[in-house]
Amino acid sequence: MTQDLFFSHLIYWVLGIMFVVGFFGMMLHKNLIKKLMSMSILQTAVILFFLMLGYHPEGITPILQAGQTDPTTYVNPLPQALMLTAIVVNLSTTGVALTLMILLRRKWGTLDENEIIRRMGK
Amino acid sequence: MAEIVYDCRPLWAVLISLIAAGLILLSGRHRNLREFWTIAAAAGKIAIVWSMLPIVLAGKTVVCTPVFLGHGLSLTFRVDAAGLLFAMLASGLWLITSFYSIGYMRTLKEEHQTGYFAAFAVCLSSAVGIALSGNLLTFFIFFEMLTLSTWPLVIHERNQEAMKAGRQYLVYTLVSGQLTLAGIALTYAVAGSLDFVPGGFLAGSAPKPMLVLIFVLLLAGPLVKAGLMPMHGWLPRAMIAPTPVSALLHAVAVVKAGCFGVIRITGFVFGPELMGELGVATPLAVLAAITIILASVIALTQPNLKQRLAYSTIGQLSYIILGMSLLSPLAILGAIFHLFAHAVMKITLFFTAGAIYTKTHTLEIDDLSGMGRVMPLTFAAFTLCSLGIAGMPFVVGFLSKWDILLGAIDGGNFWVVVVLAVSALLSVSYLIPIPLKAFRGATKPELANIQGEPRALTLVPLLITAVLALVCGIFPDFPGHFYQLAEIAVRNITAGCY
Amino acid sequence: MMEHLPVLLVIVPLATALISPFLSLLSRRLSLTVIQCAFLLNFIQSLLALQRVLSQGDWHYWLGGWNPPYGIEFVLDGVSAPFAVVATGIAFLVSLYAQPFFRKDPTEREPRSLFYVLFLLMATGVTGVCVAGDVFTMYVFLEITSLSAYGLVALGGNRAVFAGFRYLILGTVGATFYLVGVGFLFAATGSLNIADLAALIPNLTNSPVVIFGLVLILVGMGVKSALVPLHFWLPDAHTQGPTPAIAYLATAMLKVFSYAMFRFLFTIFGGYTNELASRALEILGWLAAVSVIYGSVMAIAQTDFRRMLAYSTIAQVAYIPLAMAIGTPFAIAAALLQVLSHSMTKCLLFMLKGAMHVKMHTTMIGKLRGMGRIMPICTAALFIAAMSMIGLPPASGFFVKWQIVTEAAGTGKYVFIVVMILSGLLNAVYFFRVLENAMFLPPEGEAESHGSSCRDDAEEAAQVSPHVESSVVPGDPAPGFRGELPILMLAPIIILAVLIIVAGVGSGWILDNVLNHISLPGGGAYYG
Repeated sequence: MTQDLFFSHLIYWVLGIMFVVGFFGMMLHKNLIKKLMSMSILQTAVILFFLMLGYHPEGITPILQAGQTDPTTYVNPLPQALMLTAIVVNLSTTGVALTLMILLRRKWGTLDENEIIRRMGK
Repeated sequence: MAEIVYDCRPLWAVLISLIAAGLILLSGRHRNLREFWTIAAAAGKIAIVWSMLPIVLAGKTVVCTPVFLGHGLSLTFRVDAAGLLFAMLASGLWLITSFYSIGYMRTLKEEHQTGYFAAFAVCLSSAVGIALSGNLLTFFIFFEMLTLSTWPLVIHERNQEAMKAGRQYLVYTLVSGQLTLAGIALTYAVAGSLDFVPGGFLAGSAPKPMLVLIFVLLLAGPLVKAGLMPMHGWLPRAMIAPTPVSALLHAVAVVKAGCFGVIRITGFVFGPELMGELGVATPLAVLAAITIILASVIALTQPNLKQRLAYSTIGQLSYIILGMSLLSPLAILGAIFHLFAHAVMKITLFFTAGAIYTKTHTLEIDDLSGMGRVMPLTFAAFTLCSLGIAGMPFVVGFLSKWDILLGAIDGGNFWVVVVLAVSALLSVSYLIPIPLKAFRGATKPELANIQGEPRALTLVPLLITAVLALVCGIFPDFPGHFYQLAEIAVRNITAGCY
Repeated sequence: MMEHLPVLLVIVPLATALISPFLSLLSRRLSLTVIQCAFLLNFIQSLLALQRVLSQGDWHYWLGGWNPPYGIEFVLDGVSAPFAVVATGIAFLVSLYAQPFFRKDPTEREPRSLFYVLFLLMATGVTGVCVAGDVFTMYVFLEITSLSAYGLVALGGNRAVFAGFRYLILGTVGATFYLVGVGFLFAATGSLNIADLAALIPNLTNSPVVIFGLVLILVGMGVKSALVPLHFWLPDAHTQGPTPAIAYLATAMLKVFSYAMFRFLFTIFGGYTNELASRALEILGWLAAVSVIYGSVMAIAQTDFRRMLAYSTIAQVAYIPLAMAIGTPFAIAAALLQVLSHSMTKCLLFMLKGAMHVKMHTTMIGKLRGMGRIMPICTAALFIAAMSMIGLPPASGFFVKWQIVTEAAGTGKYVFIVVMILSGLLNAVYFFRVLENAMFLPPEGEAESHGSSCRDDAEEAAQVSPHVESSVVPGDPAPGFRGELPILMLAPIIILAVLIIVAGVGSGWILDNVLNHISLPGGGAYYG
C-alpha cells in the first residue's frame, strides 16, 4: 500500500525533493551564484509540477484532430500555456538577479554573502 | 425633550480660532498684525458663543452636524447649558488672557511668540470644541487636539527641563487619552450610540462589570487632565511654561477640559442614577477628597509661588469631581458652577504671579516680601482671590462650595463637610501668608529698586478678573447668567429632581 | 474608449514604459513629460473606473471577448477600484517628486530613465493586480511589480544592490510558494478564474490539497507583505533604495500583497462563512498583531529616520490584515481606508526624508535639529504626518484607528483594541522624538539658551528700534518659504499633507460613498 502510494506518485515525490532542495539551497547557501542555481531548481520544480497537473498517460497533443472530439483524450493545454508565461517570469528574475550579481561582484570583488556583509561593514 | 434649534454657529465658534491660528503663523513677521488676529478671533469667538446664550436660557438646544464620520456617527455640536457655560467661560477668558499674554510676552521679550500665539488659538478652538461637542467621538477629537496643541506651549522655553516636562505631559495625556478611546469604542459597541443625553444613556445596556470597565476607561483621560491624584504628576512639572500658559492650562482650557469631561461623562453618559447603582461614585468621591486634602498639604510646603498655585489647582479641581460624584442635585450644581468660579479666581492668581514675575524675575515666595507695598493693586487682587479660593462669602468661590456642602448634607455624606472645612483652613494657610508677607515684610535689598505696578497690559486684565470674582460672588448671574446655566444643566441631568 | 478602461489602466503605464527609453534618446525633457502625463492619465482613468463601479456595480471585462472561465477576465469591484485610485494617485505624486529630487540629490546619480522605466513597470504591475480576475494573471502582475521593485531598490547605490538581491531571493521564494499554491488549487478545481474558484472552493475546503494550497499562498504573500516573522528583507531594502522608489514601494506596492490575501481569503474562500478561511484569518490576525507591536518597538530602537520609517511600515501595513481578521464589511472598509491613509502618510514621510537628504544631508534623528528653521513647510508636513501615524485627530490615521477599534469592540475581539492602542502609543514615542528635534530644538552649534528662530530675533530688533515695528525686517536672514525646495518637490508634499487632513475629516464621506460597495460572501454588506 505504502509502496503503491510512493510509486504511483513518484514524479510528485521527485518534484517535492527538488522543491525542498531548491528552497534550502536559496536560504542556506552563502555563495550567491549557488543561491541563484537553487532558485532555478526551485522554479523548474514548480513548472514541472504544473505540467504534471495537465498530463495524463494516454493523452495526445492538444491539437484538434478529425474524429477526436472527446476532451479527455487530450493532454490539458492550459498548464502548458501558463508555464510558458511562468518561464518568462523566471527568465526575467534570473536576468535581474544576474545583473545585480555582476554589480555586486564589481563593487565588492566577491560573491560570498558573509564576505560582502563584512566588507560593507568597513 | 428640549426644543432643538439647527444653527451652524457652534461650528464657527470652533473654526474662528483655527483660522486665526493659520493667519497668525502666516503673519509671523508682522508683530502687530499677528496680535490683531488673536484679538479679533477672541472677540469674534465671544460674540458667536455669547450670542447663543438667549437660546439656551430659553431652554432650547442648538445643534449642528457639519460632517459625517461614517458608521452612523457624525461630528456633532450640541449646545446645552453645561456646554455653553464652559464655552462662554473659555472664550471670555481667552480675550482677557490674550491682552495679558501680549503684555507679558512683550515685557519679557520671549522668543517663539508666533508659535505661541498660534498654539494658544488652537488650544482655544479645542476647548470650545470640547464644550460644544454633542457626542463622545466629537468630544474625543477635540480632547486630543487640545493635548497636542498644549504640548508646544508646555515646552515653550525649549530647554532641557521644559522638554522633559513636555514629554511627561505627553505620556500622561496620550496614554490616558488612548484608554478613553478604548472606552468610547466599548461604549459604542454596547450602546450603539455616543450622543450625550442628560441623565445618561448607558443604563441597562451591558452587564455591570462591563459598565464599570467602561466607566474607568472613559474617565481615564479627563481625570488625568483634571489632575486627580495619583495622576497629577504632569501638572506641577508643566509650570515651567510661561505664566499666561499656566493661566490657560489651569484656569481656562486644559484642566477645565478635564473637569468638563468628568461632568459630561458622569452626567451625560452614565448619569447619577447608574453611577450610584454601579457603586463607582463613592470610590471616586473618596479619591477626590483625598486629592483635596493632600494637594493642599503639599501646597503648604512649596516655596515657589507657581508651584504652590499648581497644587492649589489640583486640590480645587477635585471639588468638581467630588461634587459630581456625590450624586445629589445641589452638589452637581456646585460642581458645575465651580467650573466658572474657580476659573475666574485662579486665572487672577496666575495673572498676578505673572505680573509680579515681569517685575521681579523671581517667584520664590520669600523674595516677594515687601513687594505688596510696591504693587498694592496687584497684591490686593491676589488677596481677594486667595480668600475666594478659601471660600470666603461674597467672593464667587463661596457659592459653589456652599452648594457642594449642602449637596453633601442632602445625600447624607457628612464626612464631606469635614473635608471641605479642613480644605478651607489649609487654603487660607497656604495662600494668605503670601500677601501678608508682601504687605508687611521687609523688602529684599536686591529687589529694592523695583518701582510701581506692572505695565497696563498685564495689570488691567488681572484687575478685571478680580473684580469679576467679587461681583459674581454677590450677583452670580451678572455677566453671563452662569449660575442660571448651571441650574438648567442640573435640572436636565437630574430630570427635574432638583 | 470608455468600455476598454480596465485594460487601458494597465496598458497606459506599460506602453509608456516601453516607449520612454526611446523618447529619452530624442529628448530627455519630452520623455519626462510623457511619463508624467501617463501617470496623470492613469490616475484619471482609475477615477473614471471608480466612478463607473460606484454607479453601475462590479465591472467585468473580458479580454478579447473570451468569456470566463476560458478567457482572461479583468474585474473591478468595490475593493479593487478604490485601491487602484490610491495606487495611481500616489504614483503620479511620486513621479512629480522624483524629477527634481534626482537633480538635487548629491548622492543618487543613477540613470534617471532607468528609474522611470522600472517605476512605470511597477505601476503597471500594481494596477494589473487590482484588475486581475484570475489568480494566474494576478501572479504575473505580482511578479512584474516585484521584479521592478528589486531593480528599483538596487538603484540606490552599492549597499542597495545587496539589499535588492536579498529582496529578490526572498521575494522569489514568496512568489514560488504562491505559484505552487495556485497549482494546488488548480489541481483541486481545474479552474483559475476567481469567480469560478469562489463557486467551487468553499465545498472543497476539507481536502488537504486545498488546505495546503491556501497555506502556501498565504505564506508567499506573507513574505511579500513583510508580515512578521517573514519580514527580514524589508528594513534593508527600504533603507537603501532611492527615496522616490521607496515612497511608492512602501505605500501602494506593499499593500498589493495584502490585497491578494484579501482576494483569496474572502472572495475565494468565503471569509468567516467558511471554517478553513476563518481559522486562517484568526492566525493571520495574530500574526498581524505581532507585526504591529514588533514593528513599532523596533522603530523606537532606530537612530536613523530611514530605518525607523522602514520598521514603522512593517507595523502599519499589518493594520490591513488585522482589520481583515475582524472580518466585517466595515472592517474591510477600514482596511481600505488604511490603504489610503497609510499610503499618503508614508509617502509623505519618505518624501520628507528625501527633503532632509537634499537640504540637510542627513537622516539621523539626532541631527535633524533646526529643521523647523530650514524647512518650515516640510516641518509642518512632518507634524501632520506624525499625527496621522500616531492616530491623533483630525488626521486620517485617527479615523482608521477609530474604525478598527470600534469594529474590534463590536465583534468582541478585545485583544485588537489593546494592540491598536499600544501601537498608537509606541508610534507616539518615536515620532515625538523626531518632532522634538525637528520642530523645537535649535540647530546644533547654537547654545540652547540662545536657541531662537530668526523671526524672533527680528522681533527683538523691532523691540529696540520701534520704527521697524510691524514691517518686514530688511535683510532678514531666515530662509523664507520660497527656496525651501524646488516647487515640484514641495507641491506633492503640500498636497499630501492637506489630503491627510481632508481624508481625515472626510473619512465619513469616503466610507459612506466610496467604500460602501464592498460585498462579502455570506451576505455581509456595508452596515451589515
